Amino acid sequence: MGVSANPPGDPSGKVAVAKLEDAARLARELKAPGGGAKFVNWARKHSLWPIPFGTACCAIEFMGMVGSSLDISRFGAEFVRFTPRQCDLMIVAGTIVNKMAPVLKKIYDQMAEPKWVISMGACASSGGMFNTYSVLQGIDRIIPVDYYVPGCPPRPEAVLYAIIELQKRISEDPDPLKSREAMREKWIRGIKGRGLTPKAKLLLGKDGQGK
Amino acid sequence: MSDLLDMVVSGLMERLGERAGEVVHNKMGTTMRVSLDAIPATLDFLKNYKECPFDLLSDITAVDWSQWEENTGLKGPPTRFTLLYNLYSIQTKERIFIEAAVSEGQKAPSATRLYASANWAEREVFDMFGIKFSGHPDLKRIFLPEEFEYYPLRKEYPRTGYDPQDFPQE
Repeated sequence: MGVSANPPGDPSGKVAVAKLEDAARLARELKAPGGGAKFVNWARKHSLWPIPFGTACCAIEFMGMVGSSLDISRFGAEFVRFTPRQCDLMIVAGTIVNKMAPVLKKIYDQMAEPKWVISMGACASSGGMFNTYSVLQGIDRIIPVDYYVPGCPPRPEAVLYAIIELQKRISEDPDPLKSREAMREKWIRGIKGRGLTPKAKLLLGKDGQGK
Repeated sequence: MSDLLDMVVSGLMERLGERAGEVVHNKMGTTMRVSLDAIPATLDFLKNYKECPFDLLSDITAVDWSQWEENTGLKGPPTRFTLLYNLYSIQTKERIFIEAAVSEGQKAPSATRLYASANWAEREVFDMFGIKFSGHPDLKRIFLPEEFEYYPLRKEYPRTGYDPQDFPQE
């Protein structure tokens, strides 16, 4: 009975060598300039913690996405938390009425930086079929949105696609904190250009700067 | 109409006398018109009617007739609003509607002393139509934000509100 250096299931040692080569490549990449950020982004994109802001039927579709048949955790966004302070991805799933708008804004503000928002479904993106006095006509009037997922409600696969696209964006982002800030400034300029509504003024403050 | 409901209606007419109005039967059921000041007496009578107690107040709602004549060409009621009480008897499975005319600014008597469920129903009518109820313990808006200034189910209120900036212009 000789003692083998190779792990069980890999008698020739080819897999172990390949893994070592992978590790060596990763180490080389980390040593190169910008490698630290690359590593952080790699970790960040595979550990998105979503907070579901579910107010209507889209939230049911969200449950289907979390469930075992489609399984959001395959993409590294498993840990659905119900407190904003532990989350970095907000999925707004459902109709937001004007009475709910300040609550949404408050919860968004409580999330730690860097943070991303996916607007799930027609209602959250544009008010949907509720073109009435009581419904907010799109959450981008009060918070910046990264991805809009169309549908009423959207298929869970569509939201998974948005998450995969978001992960691509995160892995290519050299400095998420900086780019988030720039994106928010662009958004504020955008809604100011459209004209701040009295409701938005109430939520964003007089200068429109949010917090 | 069942014999039991017939008995209830005739008993109610006797009790109210002049304050009772006409009785209408249609597909929806039986509706009885009474004057506004007779509402507490009517509800009290129906709730405590021995053979058929209407112990469940299903709903209170209202109708705004203000643009009825322009839109339909038909003659509407003389007052602006109609209050509609929807009462159900759990034991006998009978249902009756009570209608009362309310003009603008007139206060309706609250039914909260008889039915606890009238509390939220009356708040909804106040929220949507602006009809006030005297004797209600906590008459404030129930669905809309408290700073909201209008009564959206009144006919003159536009569907998208008075603030067009909040809506995309086509």
